[in-house]
Amino acid sequence: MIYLDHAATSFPKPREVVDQTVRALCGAWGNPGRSGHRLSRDAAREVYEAREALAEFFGLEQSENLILTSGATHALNLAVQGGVAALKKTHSLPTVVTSPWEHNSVLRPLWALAKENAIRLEFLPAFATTPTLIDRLVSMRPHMLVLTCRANTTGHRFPLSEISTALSGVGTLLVADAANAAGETDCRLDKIGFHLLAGSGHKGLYGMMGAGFLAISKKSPVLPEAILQGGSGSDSFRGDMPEYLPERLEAGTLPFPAIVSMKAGVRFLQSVGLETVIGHAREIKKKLVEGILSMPEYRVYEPKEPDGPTLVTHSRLLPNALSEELEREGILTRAGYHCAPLAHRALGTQAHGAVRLSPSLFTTHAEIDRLLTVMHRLGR
Amino acid sequence: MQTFIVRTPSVTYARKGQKLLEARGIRCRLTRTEAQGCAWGIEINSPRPDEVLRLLEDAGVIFSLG
Repeated sequence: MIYLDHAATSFPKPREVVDQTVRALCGAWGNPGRSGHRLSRDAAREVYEAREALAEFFGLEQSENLILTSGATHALNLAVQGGVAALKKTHSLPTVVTSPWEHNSVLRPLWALAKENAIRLEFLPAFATTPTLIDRLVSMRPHMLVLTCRANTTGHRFPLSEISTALSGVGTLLVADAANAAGETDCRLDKIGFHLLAGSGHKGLYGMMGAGFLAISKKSPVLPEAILQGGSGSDSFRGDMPEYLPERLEAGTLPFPAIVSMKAGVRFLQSVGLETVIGHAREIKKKLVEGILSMPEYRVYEPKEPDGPTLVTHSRLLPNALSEELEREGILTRAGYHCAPLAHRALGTQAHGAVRLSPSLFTTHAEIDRLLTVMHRLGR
Repeated sequence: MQTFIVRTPSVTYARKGQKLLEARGIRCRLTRTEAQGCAWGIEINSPRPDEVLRLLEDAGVIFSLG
């Protein structure tokens, strides 16, 4: 089997991640931060270490500002809904700007808020030069900007550092979606200059499904409001959520095994080195794109993106048929819209979608050779 | 040697404080404080409580004496 659906979830998981995940699932653990007994304290220590590991990996100043979530969707809803709720304390109709490259975990919360007339929603153009984008953003003066670090379709990316510098005097709440970038690009908060960074544990971080994070820079102009209310293990007689982070934004029991798994993934990446991960991704993508571009039956979308998924269509086979043909040859891909409707509209693939090929650190050159051979045969 | 407890608003701050003190060789443990049912605290053994409290403050650990 050749697995090319890493952007949906990573497979295989590194051995050390599997070992740590099994330890978290099979060991004796209490509910972290709830009871005073040894098992609960041990679990709380593990969670704290995960918080520290993630904070360090994503350039966050203090680990208590690392909010653990059930995944990137939860983290993005917290950033978008909680951020808008905080902004509305001082702005009756905040302007929120986003892009057509966003996933539905960004678009749907924003559309829901726009439908309630809680925000004014505006979109950047799908294709624009950096100066044009920056001029547009500076003239828009948004209260919130939500952008992907790297799109889950083509690997499209924005010049985040330049954008944050250009908007530094505007007071915009800058939210970055790293669901398909965490562990695969350098999207540290202290590098990109954004305030909130949301990510997933089971893709580029190689953990099991069920955990994610929202990193909140202390430079953030507002603190997102809680969107979930519930137990926090402390301040029980208080009627609302505690004032302090992370508990303010972490209602309910944490997904302990997935958090331990995510931490193990971060440690794995640190041992490999992010430069190695990025270098491998770029080599594989270059080989993949060059190979497909040599076959006239296929079209590659945004072939110049240096890393990330590769989106292709075939001149005769519809995407689902192509994906099925590939699976018959033992190659697993994802066809369709990839939960990114506006990206497909911008690319002109809204009728049938496209096939996404997303390799990982474990994808080999031999596997790409085999894929290209099969694609060549299917192309005839 | 004095044994005293600092109360923290959450297990996160309790663990942050514990880790900091342990790294400096100061004996301590996490505890549920007796005074309030759901509060967390750090029970600390140190001959220099003032120095310990300053360490916690400087590291941004939120606590009160209780």
